Amino acid sequence: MSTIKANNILEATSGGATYFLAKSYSTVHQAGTQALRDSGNISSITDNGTGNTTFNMSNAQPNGYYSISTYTAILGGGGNQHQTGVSRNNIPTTSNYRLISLSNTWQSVDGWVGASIFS
Amino acid sequence: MTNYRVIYEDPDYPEETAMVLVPSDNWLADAMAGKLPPISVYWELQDDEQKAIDEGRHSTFQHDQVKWKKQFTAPRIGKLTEEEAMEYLVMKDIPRRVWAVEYNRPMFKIVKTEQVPSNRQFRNAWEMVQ
Repeated sequence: MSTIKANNILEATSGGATYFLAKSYSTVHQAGTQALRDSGNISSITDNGTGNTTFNMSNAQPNGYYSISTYTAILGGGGNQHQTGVSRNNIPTTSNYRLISLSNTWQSVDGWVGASIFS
Repeated sequence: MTNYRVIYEDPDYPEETAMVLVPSDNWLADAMAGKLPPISVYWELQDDEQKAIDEGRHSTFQHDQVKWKKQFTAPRIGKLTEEEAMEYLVMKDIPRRVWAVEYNRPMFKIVKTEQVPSNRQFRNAWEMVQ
């Protein structure tokens, strides 16, 4: 495997815009025995309860100013819309963040959750 | 795919349900290939951040660059067995008060995956069996 070391990656054509790469990514199946399907820079997840997962990063970020991008998919069909957000009682740290999945009635629910961070 | 999980309870939040730590297979592969720094590298970062939280300056906290870079530059500790990697992970990703302080009962257990219930109907009422 080759390693590329660079401080900036720029688009080669069309103006040379800067690419911003994810510092961590993961997909989690929260139902059943909660499982981490795939990940990068994630050492573990913590199942904290229904629809409630902490993502522990392998290597800490230099500060807590990172952005978290998430999605949640519905499990088992049905019409409920899901949304995922950061738990207000658990401020993200440089090494972990906790996400909660909610139904459209604001109940915590299990789902397929994907999360990436950028900084 | 690893067959281990860690069940634990947080003594600071006794009203919370039992938590289940699920290791990343990619991280475990790195641990078993000898790619991890000494655990003290992570503890040093955690201590600095906790101090910032305690002093009310977490919103502007930045890690010391020298300490932060040690994650990538410190000499690697060598290959771990899967069991050793799980112990390392406990000390890295579970709050220190859970595993470093002696209580009148164990606060965590490393278990096989099949020992964790797959029925989540009462997930928020799970307790750790002693």
